[in-house]
Amino acid sequence: MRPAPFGYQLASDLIDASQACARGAIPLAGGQSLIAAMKSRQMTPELLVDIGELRDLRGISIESKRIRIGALTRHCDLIESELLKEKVPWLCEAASLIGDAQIRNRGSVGGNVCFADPRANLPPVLISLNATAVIGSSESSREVPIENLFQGFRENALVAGEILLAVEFDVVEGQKGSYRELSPQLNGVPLVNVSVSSGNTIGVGVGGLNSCPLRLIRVEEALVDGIGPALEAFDGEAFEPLEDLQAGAKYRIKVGRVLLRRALEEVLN
Amino acid sequence: MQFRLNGGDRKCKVSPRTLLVDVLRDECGTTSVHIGCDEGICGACTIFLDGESVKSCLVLAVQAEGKDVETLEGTGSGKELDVVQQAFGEEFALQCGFCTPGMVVSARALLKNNPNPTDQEIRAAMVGNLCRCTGYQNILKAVKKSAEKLQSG
Amino acid sequence: MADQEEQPSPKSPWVGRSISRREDERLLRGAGRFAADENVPGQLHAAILHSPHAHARIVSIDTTAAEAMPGVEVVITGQSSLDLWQPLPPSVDLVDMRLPESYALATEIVHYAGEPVAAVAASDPYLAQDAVNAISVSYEILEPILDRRKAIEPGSPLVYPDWPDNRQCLWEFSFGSVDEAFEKAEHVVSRDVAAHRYSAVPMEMRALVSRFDPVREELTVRVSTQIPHQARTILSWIFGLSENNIHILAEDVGGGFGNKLQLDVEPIPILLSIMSGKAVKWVERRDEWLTSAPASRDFEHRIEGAFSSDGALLAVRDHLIGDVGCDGAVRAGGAGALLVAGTYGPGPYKVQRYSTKVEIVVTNKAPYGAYRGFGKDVANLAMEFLMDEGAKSVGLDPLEIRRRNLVDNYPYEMATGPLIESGSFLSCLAKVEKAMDLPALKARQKAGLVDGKYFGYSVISVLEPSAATIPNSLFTGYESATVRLSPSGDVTVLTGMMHIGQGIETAAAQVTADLLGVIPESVRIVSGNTDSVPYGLGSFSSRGATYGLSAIHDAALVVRKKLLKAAANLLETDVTAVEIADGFATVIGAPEKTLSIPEIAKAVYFFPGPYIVLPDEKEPTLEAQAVWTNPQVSWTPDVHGRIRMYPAHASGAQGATVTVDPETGQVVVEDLWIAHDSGKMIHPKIVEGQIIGGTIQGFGGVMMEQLAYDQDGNMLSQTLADYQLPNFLSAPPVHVLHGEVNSPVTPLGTKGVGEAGAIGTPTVLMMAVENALTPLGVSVASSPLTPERVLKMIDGEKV
Repeated sequence: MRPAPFGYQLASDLIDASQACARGAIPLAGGQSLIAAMKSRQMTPELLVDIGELRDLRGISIESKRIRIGALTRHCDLIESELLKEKVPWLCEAASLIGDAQIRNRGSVGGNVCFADPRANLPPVLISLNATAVIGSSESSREVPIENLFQGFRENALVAGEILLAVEFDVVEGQKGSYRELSPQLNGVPLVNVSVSSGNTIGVGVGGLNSCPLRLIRVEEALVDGIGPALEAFDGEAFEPLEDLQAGAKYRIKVGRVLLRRALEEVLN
Repeated sequence: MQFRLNGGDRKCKVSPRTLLVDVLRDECGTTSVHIGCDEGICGACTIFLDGESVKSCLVLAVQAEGKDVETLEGTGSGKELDVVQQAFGEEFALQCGFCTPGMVVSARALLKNNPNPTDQEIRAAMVGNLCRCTGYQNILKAVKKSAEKLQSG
Repeated sequence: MADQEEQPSPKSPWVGRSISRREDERLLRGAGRFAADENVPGQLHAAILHSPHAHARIVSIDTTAAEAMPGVEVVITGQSSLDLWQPLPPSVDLVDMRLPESYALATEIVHYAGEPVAAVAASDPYLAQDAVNAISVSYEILEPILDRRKAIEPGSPLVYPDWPDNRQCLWEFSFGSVDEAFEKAEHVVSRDVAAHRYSAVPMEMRALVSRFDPVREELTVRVSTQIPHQARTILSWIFGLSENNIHILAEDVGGGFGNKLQLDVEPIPILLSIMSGKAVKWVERRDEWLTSAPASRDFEHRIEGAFSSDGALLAVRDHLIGDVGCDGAVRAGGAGALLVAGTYGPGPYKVQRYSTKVEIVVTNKAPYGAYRGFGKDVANLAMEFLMDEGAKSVGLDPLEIRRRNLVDNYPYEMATGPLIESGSFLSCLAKVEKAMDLPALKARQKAGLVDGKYFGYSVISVLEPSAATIPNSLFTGYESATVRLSPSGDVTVLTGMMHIGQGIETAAAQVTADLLGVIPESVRIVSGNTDSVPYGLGSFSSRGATYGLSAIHDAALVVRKKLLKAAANLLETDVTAVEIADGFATVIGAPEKTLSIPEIAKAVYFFPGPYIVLPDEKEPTLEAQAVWTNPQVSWTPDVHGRIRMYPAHASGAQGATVTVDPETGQVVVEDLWIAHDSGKMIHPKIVEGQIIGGTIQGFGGVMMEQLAYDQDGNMLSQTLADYQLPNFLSAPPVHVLHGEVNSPVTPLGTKGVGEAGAIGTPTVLMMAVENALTPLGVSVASSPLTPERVLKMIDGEKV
């Protein structure tokens, strides 16, 4: 299908973009999720503000052991980053499983995060890395733990005028991590995905088990006592996964547990 | 909007919701760019945008403003087939030909970035292009042959 | 007696060689002309409104808002168009099939979610879509009938109130003393097995550009179809236009696989062009395709076999129930597939006591059509599982029980009537067995789990009938060709076949080049043009290599004879002393006495002309037309009421290796093998490509493709995210092992090729997974083998 009619504006700078968002515009970056949703008319925004030319939002850098990934960084750039390949290769792994080469040439980290689909690849990894979302508007800026950005199915917690500027996380020497997913076919949209990162503490993020990506806090806490208790904590959670033709809720929870166990075993052993 | 298509300048009247694939097919006559789905999965619409392979059904025409678009119609000089196209023919990597333009673009994109790909790298790089006729086996052979030919110069 | 020996064919210059494909010259340049590639100045664009309900009465349709929208020129509904066209004609009418009266737009009752109910023609496709969205329909929702078993229970609500029940057709057949054999047999086994609903889903959806000239009453339609001539006839019947004033143009088609053998939705945009007097273009969306294009498979068997103590298959009883959605006879012709399933129930085995009951059931789902396999896959699934059950009961190796029962004497008349003209089932099986190295696989399995995964494998036999000739249908049995050698010495072949990716243009050029002594590059193939090509039946049932090429062969032979005569006259020698090759006619043994074919042609037509060059020839132009029918076809029922519809039978065998992750249910297919003998291979690489393609389609179908409905009859598979098509990473390697035992009944020794992989792959994979999970006691009785379903099977849950 084709999208319903909408207005389009090309943002000249961040303030311009922010003001458009304050008027109700939705930011357009790579468009790989947004345009697809608009074509099926699942989304019918009235105004799009194209932030694709905002160079400041691109780039990967490190300062004082804190990595910053600009929101407009494309997945293909994330995968090629020597810095990320060295420090957090499982983040690159998750990115490499997004869609396909064409989609990764356009899709951005910010888009993958802000579209807030529960099955997105990057959120579980970023959650497990204790990442922070750096948010800005023409008025102000703030930082929140990335898991707080997800409010519901394809609903993010940005308020009018706000744009995700970057994600940041600390790197710890000797840090290990794992990203695992189960999709109908390789490189498809996952049914469920899990990421575990060991740093100063162990972070656990999952997708596909609720209407948005989750941090499994109780699992993280129980890990002090070992993998067994951690899995019991998982069993005690009340998940409400999406259901579709590929699988029902019961299957996703079951496999989520298997992937979690395998990821924990990989990281902790 | 204005953009460059296969080396020539184009000016098209579009609305914000016009997709790049529609402008290319309906306004510019580059019908090698095909539509095989509505959700950006099949890859039959794959083209080069500023030298990178993208799915033109997931790009608004306005997003191509000032950019360089290359489709299969812009191949080579005159009527010559390039290495990739020749290899596709030699390895019988096409049957109905509907997915072929997108496949060729993706193959070219891969070989630009990775001139010596392994089988698995080829499969992963081209997973965004679906084919219903060939079962992919001969396409893999064609891309490998292209890589060998390009390497040996 | 063992299989027939493979005889090396006499060497021919072009047939048998894998030359470059003629089609590639344009397709590789992106210069193919697919139906949606045409743009006519001033054209309108059609969009269709589909019913969101599976079973409903249309109470009212309000099109006023749509009519008022900018750019909208025509809006139609089922009621408003009632006087403008006829109901859809039947695709197939056999065995007292019940034929529902259906118009292209639903008139009162909607029978499936996705059925077209209204349509718009507007100045651009975006506006057309907006206008369709503005049409408001009021429905009275009726109870949908969705379960094929419940549908045939007494008292079930009816899909068609004027039918006594929900069966479109019921066919029962019996041959030999079946019951007696079962009573006396040492081993009686049975097996339930089913397949889910999936279909061809080619990359190109339906598309057309239709133009109507009201002064000449002339209709021209460029369309994506496998059947250009039948399309013309169907439109003549639907619109009451003279068939000689309808022109169908089909150039490049982006895959068909059987799914483009009907025109049930196409009349809608065509009507819009007739009404508007303007060109109307319709390009179907993917969700429209998935919801309304013909479905396939979706059946269940209970099969029983009686075996002797040494594993001889004595008798077979089969009960087959198939779900043809709202219709498998008019809107699309898939009901025929279930009859084919019954007819080929015995498979490639020597069993002369056979009975079948085939129940073809209607439900409120999309129409049911042809898809690669067309019932041979249905037969294969039941019979191969039965052979394995027999092997277990008798205590024989699965390959050994097959060896003891495979047909090995030709021609072989099946219990159901078909005559298997030649074959090599035993050697195909042996080839797969050897290539797989079964002892090594057995050892690997015995060694236990690796990485926590179970390993499994299986081997089956495959019978691949082709070139169906169905009485009382649009798919009867003849094919036409015209071969013309021009005064300039180049050749044009008009063929009633349709190019849909299967390489028919190349094969046709090879056959013609061999016979006329020219090179394939000088042969131009014309197909898909109903004005120029004599009436043909298009591409279905893998009939190209038999019907298509045989007609071309016969026509080319006539031209060849005249060409040789002319050459002999010009070279002043006897006809038997001339050979033609590579564009020249030469006296054998005297290479300096030669003339080019262009020179000879020019001499025949003009300088000096026919009365000198072909003095005794009543028809001295170098052109001929031929129509080919297959002598093996018989539509006259024999004393047992049997007819012979399929004249060609290829032999095959398949094997598969898989691993299964018992924690996630994921199945990885490691390798697929397929041994295949389809008679003479005109172009080995094209044959191989067809086999691999069909195999991966079978793989996709059984593993991941689903046309699924919810409990209200809504189609859940609306996108390619729902309907998973195998991608580059999932498709396993396919090892093709060729054999070539010529057919004794076709001029080139060809049989049909193209469906084998689709026929046997679902079977061999279901069996391989069952084999892998034997330690867990899992029985794989249905598909798809998605991770969720496999995990349920492992956990002993109902699937």
